[in-house]
Amino acid sequence: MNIDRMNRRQLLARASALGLVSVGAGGLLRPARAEGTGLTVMDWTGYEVPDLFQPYVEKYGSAPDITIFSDLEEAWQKIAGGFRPDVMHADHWQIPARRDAGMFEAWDTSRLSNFPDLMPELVNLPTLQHEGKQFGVPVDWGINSICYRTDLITIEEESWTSLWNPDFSGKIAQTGQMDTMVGAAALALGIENPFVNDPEIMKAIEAKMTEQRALLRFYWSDPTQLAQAMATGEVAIAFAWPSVYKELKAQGVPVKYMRPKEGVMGWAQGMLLMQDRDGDTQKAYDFMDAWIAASTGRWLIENYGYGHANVNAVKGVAPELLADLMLEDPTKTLQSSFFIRDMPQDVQTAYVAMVERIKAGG
Amino acid sequence: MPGGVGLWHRSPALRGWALIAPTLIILTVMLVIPLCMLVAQSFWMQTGLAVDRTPTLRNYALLVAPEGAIYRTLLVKSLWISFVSATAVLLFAFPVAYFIAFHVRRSRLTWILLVTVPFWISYLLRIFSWKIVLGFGGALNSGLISLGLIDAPVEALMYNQAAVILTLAHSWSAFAVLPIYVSLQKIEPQVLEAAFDLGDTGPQRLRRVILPLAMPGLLAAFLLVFVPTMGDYITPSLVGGTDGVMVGNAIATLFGKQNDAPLGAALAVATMGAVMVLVAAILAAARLSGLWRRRA
Repeated sequence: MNIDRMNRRQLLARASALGLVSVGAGGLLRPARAEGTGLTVMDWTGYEVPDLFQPYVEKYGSAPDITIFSDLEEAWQKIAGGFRPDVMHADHWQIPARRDAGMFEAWDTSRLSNFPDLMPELVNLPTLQHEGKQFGVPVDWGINSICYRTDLITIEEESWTSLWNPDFSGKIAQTGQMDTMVGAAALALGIENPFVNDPEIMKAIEAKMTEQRALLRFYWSDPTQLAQAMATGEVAIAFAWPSVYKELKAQGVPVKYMRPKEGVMGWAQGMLLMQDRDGDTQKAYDFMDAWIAASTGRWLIENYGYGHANVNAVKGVAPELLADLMLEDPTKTLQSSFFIRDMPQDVQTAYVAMVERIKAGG
Repeated sequence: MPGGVGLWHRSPALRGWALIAPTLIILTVMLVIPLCMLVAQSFWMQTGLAVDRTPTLRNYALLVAPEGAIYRTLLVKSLWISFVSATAVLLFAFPVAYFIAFHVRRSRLTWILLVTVPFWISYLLRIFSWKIVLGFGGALNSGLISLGLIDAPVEALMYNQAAVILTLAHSWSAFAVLPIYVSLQKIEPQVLEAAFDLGDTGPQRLRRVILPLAMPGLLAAFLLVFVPTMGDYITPSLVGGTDGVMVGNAIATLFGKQNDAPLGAALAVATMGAVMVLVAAILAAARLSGLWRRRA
């Protein structure tokens, strides 16, 4: 097309034709997307791999639509903004406030063939089970700790205070997630439960987190960023999910997953059935059932290093691996670790604001 | 309706309005109304998970209160980062535009097209490529190590304000080249020759003839970079680390994680106000100094 030889009228005509075509194409493409797979799932980054719901893939031939997030607060905001998943995954302590707001529907556990194999101590968590109804089905649980490069730094005594050691200044990374940032500060300070409405405690936590900020290379926002930084040696010590530790170890990077004297952090998640949903309910149940299958659990343990709620998941897993990941005895691990049981909404709001303020430099 | 047709022919104003109507409608729906909603929202109040819609000034009060110091710090820091980025862009873009305007005889279109090449890939990928260049194990560090110039990777390249400024300046450079080029191109060659004939040296001619004549383009280029970079939050969140956070990040987390959209709206409106005041001041200064005049 030679612009010089084309007069303005022709140019405008072609431009408007192009405009109409692109608008039309948009209209044609949209309905095709909305049809989808009949099930929309919102899940943590890394949980979109089909190995975690293989029976579902076998039954329906393909994975559902999965939208991933790496920060639960962002996921809630997305839903508040109008996104409608059918099933989603959340930290167990985040569930009650939104359950009371009518956001979730209780699961009919008789429709889940693998449900009887789930660990009672997780099934019965008051955050997941409420008035006899199972709003959250326990799936994954585990521990979180500090990962460090044994060739780059020497740790005298394994402790959460290592994340505040000025000797490692500029080589430390922390997650940008509120619950973990506050939890680590509490463990370093020896505060048993920071998630209470106590100005004294909040002030101490705030000072501790502010102190840490000056020592950090960055607040990591996704596990890949952290794994890369630790592999190159840019970061020598960091709060890390077990999956990051496992990945680094598999790459041959000399790392150790710390067993701090104050204990590790424990966590548990529940899978939720959304009250307002557009997807196929049977598919939602099949997806749920696939997630709590023992085969899924084994894959989760062996590949990501997380625990799984199905008691049979550990069958066949090498005992050394379980010991390395501190997953040998779920009950003992959860009891001895720093575990968030619940968090009042106002405390959560205050801490989120505090954490964001500190991250921004205040 | 003959009357209507007659009016159509008689009234240039009506024809003018009809001509700009599509643009006006789009601007109203996509910009004016959302902006009004944002301003309205900034007078609401977030209470827990709900929003109280009774008009209040409490969000703005917080921004000027001691507890709001962080937002003021971020605002000033963002103005500074954008100012430095825009200035850097001018310094890089002017020689390029100068070259294209005065030294390229044929195929100017090709040269202009070349300037836009960075825009052929996504904004996000451009930022990530800077991460690869500046990173700890990145191109620059491994290059310097293999040359034997440094022993250990330089950490100061990434996760700070300088990285944000560099990335922003690169991302927006093409926006500056084009307006500067247009204003340079309008300079008559005879004017330049006259300057030489009257005894100006090269640098004198640049300072006394070319720069004043190119000033509208330079100002436009500066503002085209300064204004949008003020609101950027992707670049600082990817290369800024703990030091390079900008006001856009705070607005984004207020609307997102912090679940306080009214305060986020107030901060956005305040940021917009600050930018407007600064732009007005820059234009006024330019006009007073006589560098830029409105054409009669």
